[in-house]
Amino acid sequence: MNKGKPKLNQYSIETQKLNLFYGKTPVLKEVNLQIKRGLVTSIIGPSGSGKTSFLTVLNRLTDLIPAARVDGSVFVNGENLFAPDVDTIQLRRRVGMIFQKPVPFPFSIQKNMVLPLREHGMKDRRQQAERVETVLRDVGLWEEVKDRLSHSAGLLSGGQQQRLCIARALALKPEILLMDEPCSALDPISTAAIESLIQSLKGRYTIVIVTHNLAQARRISDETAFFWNVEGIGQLVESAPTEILFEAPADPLTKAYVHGIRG
Amino acid sequence: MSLARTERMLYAGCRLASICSGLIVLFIGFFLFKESLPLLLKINPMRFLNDPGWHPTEGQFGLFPMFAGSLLITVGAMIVAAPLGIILAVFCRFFAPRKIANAYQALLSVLSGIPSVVFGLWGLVVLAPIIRHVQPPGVSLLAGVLVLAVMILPTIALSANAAMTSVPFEYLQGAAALGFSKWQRVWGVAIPAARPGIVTGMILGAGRAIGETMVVLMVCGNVVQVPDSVFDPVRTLTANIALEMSYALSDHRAALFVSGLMLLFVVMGFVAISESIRAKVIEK
Repeated sequence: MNKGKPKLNQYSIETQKLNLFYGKTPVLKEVNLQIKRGLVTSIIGPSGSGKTSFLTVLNRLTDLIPAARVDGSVFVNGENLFAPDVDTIQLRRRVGMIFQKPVPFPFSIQKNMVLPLREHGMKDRRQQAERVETVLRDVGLWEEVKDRLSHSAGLLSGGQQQRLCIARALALKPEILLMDEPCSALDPISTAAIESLIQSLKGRYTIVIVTHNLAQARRISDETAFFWNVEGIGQLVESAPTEILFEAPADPLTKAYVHGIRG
Repeated sequence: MSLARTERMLYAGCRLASICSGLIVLFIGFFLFKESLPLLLKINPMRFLNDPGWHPTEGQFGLFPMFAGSLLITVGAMIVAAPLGIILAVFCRFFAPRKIANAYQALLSVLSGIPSVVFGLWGLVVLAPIIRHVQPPGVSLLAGVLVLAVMILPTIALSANAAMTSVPFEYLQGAAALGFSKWQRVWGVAIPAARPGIVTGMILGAGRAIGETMVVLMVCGNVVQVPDSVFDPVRTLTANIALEMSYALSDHRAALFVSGLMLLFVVMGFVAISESIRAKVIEK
């Protein structure tokens, strides 16, 4: 780390009294959450509890929605996300995001991988090829696609597309990976592949994953945060190590939800 | 039972409509061919390209200058209008405030509805005199190119805009999440993703330009020659037909139908090019 950077603590992401509005409608209310470096944190909760919205705040994708307004503060590696001098392009390189629906661009596999690298200044073709191979191996896709890099990414299966998208994000060497229900559009085998991929990325990246699948949250995450919808507004109910949140939650609402009684 | 019947009728109706529209094209082609056939049988068809001049009453049927005129005007209008139209669409879709974008689109729709004779009038009384100042005679290839460019601009801009509007938000969001700047989201993702639609718009524009008759009659000077510069007057295949149809007889008349046949082939060529570009996009 550079000397000028603020000192790093154990938290990759820290939100304080985070509120989010779309126009006049509040979407998130007073979320205080700390996400530990190098761990997998899952965010669970019913639909409409603001999980996805919370994720999009963390790399400022909310900027794309003209009516979105954020107050409170968010620190990524100790730096205020909404400080006026934040370079969102650099921010999004460091905080990658994977969406619910895989979104490969309608180009070849090769171009999908190389376009972001070029955008971030890597012009050397040999370097590009090395990086592409490394990350495609990381996501277990290399053997499947190495002979057809020039084919359309749209021809891959859903699971392959999602792994391609993860590889594409990893190629930029992010520090944090945000995943918004990355398996919800996938079959069980592809889901298993992505889950073991997430396990293998643990430690190297801080991963925040939104999931509707409680069993998945239990399997893959170290920490879990539970969101709930209170009169249409998303709120954080509690966050704890996954084991504790599922076995001995502090809040009765959490208990009801993880036991499938509510939600 | 009744549902199946409605469905059958719907199917029959659709089939009838598509057969009709297909037949119309075939009939036009057949008609052009039939009317030009006497001359095509009489002389070597290559003479339409090779004959030194266009003197149809004296047995000289060189259509090449007109063919070149049509092609040059169309290509010229495309070179001017396509980049402008695409830039305009990008501006409307990605950079302009909503109100200004809507106003622009309304303006373009109006522009596309103006009759070509009005464009011709403007070209004749405003544009041609300006060009005459630079280099007489004013009515010229350049005048035709510029007026046609203005005419086909809305076609290209509106279809490019529609194509870019249909690029899924997910692509743009995905690109943003990878740290693409706004410019790169547009240039690197939106425009390539919209390319099939943009190409279709360009072909529609080209088709409109090559088929345009009134404007070229009014502003291009109608001299039968392969132009040496953009300031030279030219005659197009369409103008050739319009100018001479009223008094053409026998071979001369058949030669004008050959002009029409030639136009048909050029348009088919455009369609073939656009299809191959689109096929390439899908293959990728």
